[in-house]
Amino acid sequence: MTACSRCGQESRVKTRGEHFCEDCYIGFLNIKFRKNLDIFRVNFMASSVPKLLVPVSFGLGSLVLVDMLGELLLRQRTNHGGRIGFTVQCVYVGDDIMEWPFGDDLPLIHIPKEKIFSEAFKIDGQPLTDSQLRGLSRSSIQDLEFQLRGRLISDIAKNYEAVVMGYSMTRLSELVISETVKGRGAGIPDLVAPGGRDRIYPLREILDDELQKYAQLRNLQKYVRPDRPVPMVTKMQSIDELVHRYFVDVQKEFPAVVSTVAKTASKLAQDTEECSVCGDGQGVCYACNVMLKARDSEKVIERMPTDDILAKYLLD
Amino acid sequence: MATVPLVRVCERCLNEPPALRRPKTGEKICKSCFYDVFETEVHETIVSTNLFHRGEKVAIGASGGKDSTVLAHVLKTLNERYDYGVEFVLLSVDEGITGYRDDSLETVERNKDQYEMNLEIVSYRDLYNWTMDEIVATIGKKNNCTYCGVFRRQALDRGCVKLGISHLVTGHNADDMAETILMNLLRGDTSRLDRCTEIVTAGTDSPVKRSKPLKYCYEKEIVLYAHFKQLDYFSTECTYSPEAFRGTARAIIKNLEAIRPSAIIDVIHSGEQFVLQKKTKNRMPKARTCTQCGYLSSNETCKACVLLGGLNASRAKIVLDTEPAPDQPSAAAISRSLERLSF
Repeated sequence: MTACSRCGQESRVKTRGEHFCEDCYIGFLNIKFRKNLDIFRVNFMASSVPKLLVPVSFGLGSLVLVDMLGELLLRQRTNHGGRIGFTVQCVYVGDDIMEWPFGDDLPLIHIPKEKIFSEAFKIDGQPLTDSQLRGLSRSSIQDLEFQLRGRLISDIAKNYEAVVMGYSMTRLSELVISETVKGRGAGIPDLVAPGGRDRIYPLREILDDELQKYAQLRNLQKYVRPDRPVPMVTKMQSIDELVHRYFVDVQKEFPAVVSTVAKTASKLAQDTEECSVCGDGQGVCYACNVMLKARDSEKVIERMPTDDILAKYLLD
Repeated sequence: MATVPLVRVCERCLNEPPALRRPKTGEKICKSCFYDVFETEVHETIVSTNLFHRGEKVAIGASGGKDSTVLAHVLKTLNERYDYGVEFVLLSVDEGITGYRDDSLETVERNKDQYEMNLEIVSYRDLYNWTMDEIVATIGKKNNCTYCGVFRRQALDRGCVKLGISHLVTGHNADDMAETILMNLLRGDTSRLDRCTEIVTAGTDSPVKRSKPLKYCYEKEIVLYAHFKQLDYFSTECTYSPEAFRGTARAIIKNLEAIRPSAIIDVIHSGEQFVLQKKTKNRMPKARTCTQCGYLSSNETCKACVLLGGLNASRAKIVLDTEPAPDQPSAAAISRSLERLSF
């Protein structure tokens, strides 16, 4: 039997070179989680309790986040005579809503996916037309939905103290690379830095693999939405899917790469491009311009030897 | 009913039949339009960044490969066409890699005559008293690219100083740039993150200004340009293993380009917008001189001296003479003949 390095009981999980029993592991992750929510301790002097907006996707990160928020509320109530430091409103933007395993403390509102196209999205004041949407590449559609969902959440968040998101360290690193690839380098600090866009990422120091183990121990896995099927052929995948696959692989053998990317991005200074698609500005930024013009194409280009390049690109 | 024959024409000039599909944009264009657009893009890069000034003497880092050969050809063409008034010199480094560099240097020798440029060759043997073959024999193939990269950078600088040149142009292309940006993110190289996309770099550890006029040119377009122009270049890969970490970034870029051809330029665009926070920037090392060789360095001892120190410490004091001189019999042959001797 391998013993938990903290309490000596039987180890259930090994992470970061340390063995943990179930309780110590959950406690270990909860400490990392609570550290990022320290500003929402019970405030006996405050006249009102801050309201937090928690967007959920029924993915691993958001369900673990809501579970931990519920545990924190319970802890605050128990320790402070029924008082709490914040209230939570969860929101799901999308179709195919799943079973919600949490209680009244953690209410969920559902906004259909069509809302992001009908209300939030306009290019210089004009709504997007069907012909503009038609034929967009897989990468562009996913990128567009991500940008528009973010704008809708920002709109809703105006009535809340802060937005709390379930991005893990792995997810933040994926965002850094995929946003870089899409030409959105300027927006990375705003997206991933702590405090950017009044967003809080309490799981920012936890890896996806660690969340997976937490979900197993807390019996949350059955509520997690299964991953969307991804095409086997690389050229048919989207940028997000390719980057996700890279991090799934790299996380197993070199977890340090994940934290390196996240930490490196946090050293970048805030600098955003003005845009009417992904922001509240004017015009269309470089990356959104690429996104809206990128169509599914047969013009697939691969890195290849000289002879193959000549054979592929030379016309008769 | 009259039928109109479907004739394929160049999408730019609408006149000539197309000869290729541009990897960067997917346009089907003719040869002359491809030359025009390729050279014009390089010219615009040069002009928009004020890369050269009249009367300047500039060294072209020439390896004999496709990138540096195309760079030399395009710079000579543009210098004549737009009258930059710049004198170009070829500068090569002989790393001492048998079967690779010796052959590619022959290509550079021919380029010297083809482009009517002077050529200077600096060698690791003269500068460091080591060749890459000897280094690999000592340290193995695992980290040899680190040694080669550090030594080459300093060798090019020393070559420029020897020629009295303060500006070196290199053949780094868009694919190289995108790979470097991803690589710096993946390995957390903060100090290079916001500088690696600059077209001109004048670091704290180099007296020579370096620039990359091909930074927006796709590698595939460079291959196509060299093919159509029938340029004389050396296409063999280095005999030692490629840099492992760069290989990872290259694989990602390759896959991303397959998904979205503009991904390479998009990554460069992102990289150009990376700005380090002031507190991180203030922690960057300041320029000083190496206490051992007097060369510019960001530390007390320059990287080349650190690496050389390790190499010299592990150099064998006695070497087995396994190769006898051509006119001398080997030790085994001498033994055999001695055994046969009778008195």
